[in-house]
Amino acid sequence: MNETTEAARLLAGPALALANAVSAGKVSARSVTEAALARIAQVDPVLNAFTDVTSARARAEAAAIDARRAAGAVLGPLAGVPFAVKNLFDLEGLSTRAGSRINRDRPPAPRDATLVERLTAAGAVCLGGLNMGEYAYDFTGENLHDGNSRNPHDTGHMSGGSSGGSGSAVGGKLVPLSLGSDTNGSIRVPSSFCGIFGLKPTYGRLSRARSFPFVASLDHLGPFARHVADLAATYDALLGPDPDDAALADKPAAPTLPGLEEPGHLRVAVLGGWFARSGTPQAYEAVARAARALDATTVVELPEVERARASAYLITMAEGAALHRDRLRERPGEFDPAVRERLLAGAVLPAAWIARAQNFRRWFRDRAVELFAEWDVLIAPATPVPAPRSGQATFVLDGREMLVRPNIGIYTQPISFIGLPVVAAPIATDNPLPIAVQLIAAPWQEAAALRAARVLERAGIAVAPEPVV
Amino acid sequence: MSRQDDTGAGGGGADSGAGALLDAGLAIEGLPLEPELRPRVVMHLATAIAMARLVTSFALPDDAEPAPVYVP
Repeated sequence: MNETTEAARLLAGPALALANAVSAGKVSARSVTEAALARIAQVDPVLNAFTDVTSARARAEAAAIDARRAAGAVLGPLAGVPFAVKNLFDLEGLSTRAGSRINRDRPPAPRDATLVERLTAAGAVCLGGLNMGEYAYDFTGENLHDGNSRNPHDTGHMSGGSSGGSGSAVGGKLVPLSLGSDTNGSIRVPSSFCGIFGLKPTYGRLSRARSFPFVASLDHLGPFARHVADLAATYDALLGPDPDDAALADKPAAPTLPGLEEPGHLRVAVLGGWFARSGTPQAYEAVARAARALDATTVVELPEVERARASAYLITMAEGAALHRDRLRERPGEFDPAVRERLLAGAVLPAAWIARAQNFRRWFRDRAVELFAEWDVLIAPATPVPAPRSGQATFVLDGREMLVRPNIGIYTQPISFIGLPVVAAPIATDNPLPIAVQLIAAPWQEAAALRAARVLERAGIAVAPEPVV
Repeated sequence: MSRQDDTGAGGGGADSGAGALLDAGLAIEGLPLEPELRPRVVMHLATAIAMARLVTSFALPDDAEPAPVYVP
């Protein structure tokens, strides 16, 4: 097998196997990078996952890795692995557009986002910026300015959002790893629709420095991958203190890869109540399959989930409106109207509502922590449906016709509201369109959610399906 | 099947005052809104009002702390 063919084969497989091959000198980082660039050139015109392909940067980074290896240096754990990031992450030399038209006027970023720097330090190679819903206020992956990112399992369907390009690029095997953000579900929804693994860590766990914000109270950043060990290794590489993010918690880094294959005894239950209503049969088939494999026979309830979702909805509207207030005044015509109309409504919400929502948030967090005294992992659907058709405006849940956009996140929004760590794990069903479950753990227990995901992966139940592109 | 609903939370309804709240708030804030977009914004605000009714009708003790706590 020649180097080009071997690089393409490795690119399509696990990231850690690729990194091992690069570290062992079986393939060069340069060849892998060229394979990824070729795959992007071939497939991205269909998926529209990328908004910026940083080919010169990627070639320079790959050459530096190969030079270090030639000099006898030990390479990082993600040596030569191509990755790309939602275009709200700063990439040096690019304007951070955050899915918008307005932000293209910003000066080029002088420095990478912290999480990009960490992946680069681990040896990964940055291939560019990825499509996203405008200012991350989105669950669909549709973008008025850059076009929609498309589902790699049926390009007539949504990728999910707002990290649509991040889901599409990994689901379509353009890159093995990507980064995204999740305020109300924007990592978990594209993971579900694109059939990949995504990790939304605990709120305050990973640095958000030099990423464009949306809702400071609820914003999280995290990785996507096609394999659980890749997800864990990427997350581990992202850990660490950072004085540039005021919301970062003072917690010791707790790497997850070393214990991934030793699940021990995980106490797993299924979330009922709100999470057992409104979903399609496929969503509940996925939950049932995961529950069987994890010996989860008990159904438990979080109280007042509907109020939790409502609180997240209000905080999102208000903080989002506050962030964009000046742009709403000065450049109203340059927003996607679907985003602007919600921000305008958020601009007039009484402050007392938001204060009450933040008080309720602590109450709801305390109820969740009580539940986690008995359980390590809770299973819930990630989305009520597999990916709707692109442009689809309504769907029927529980016999009621509802708008697609705000209701895709009915199961994700109450969980991110209190910052719990979640792995979205794609569960094989008979439908060619994938769907995921949420594996939810107690605060700071990302390792438990990842170990549960690995149990499902080993059992052949959680798997990233092959794309059709 | 019920009427189309943005939230599943029950709608704000015509008596929610959403239009009046919107017009007053946008005027105070100096935020422009084209007449043709106004019904959509009112719809979103009516949804928020329904959400707020859920949130504010939940009894919390006076000493309930907000989730974010400032650390000097």
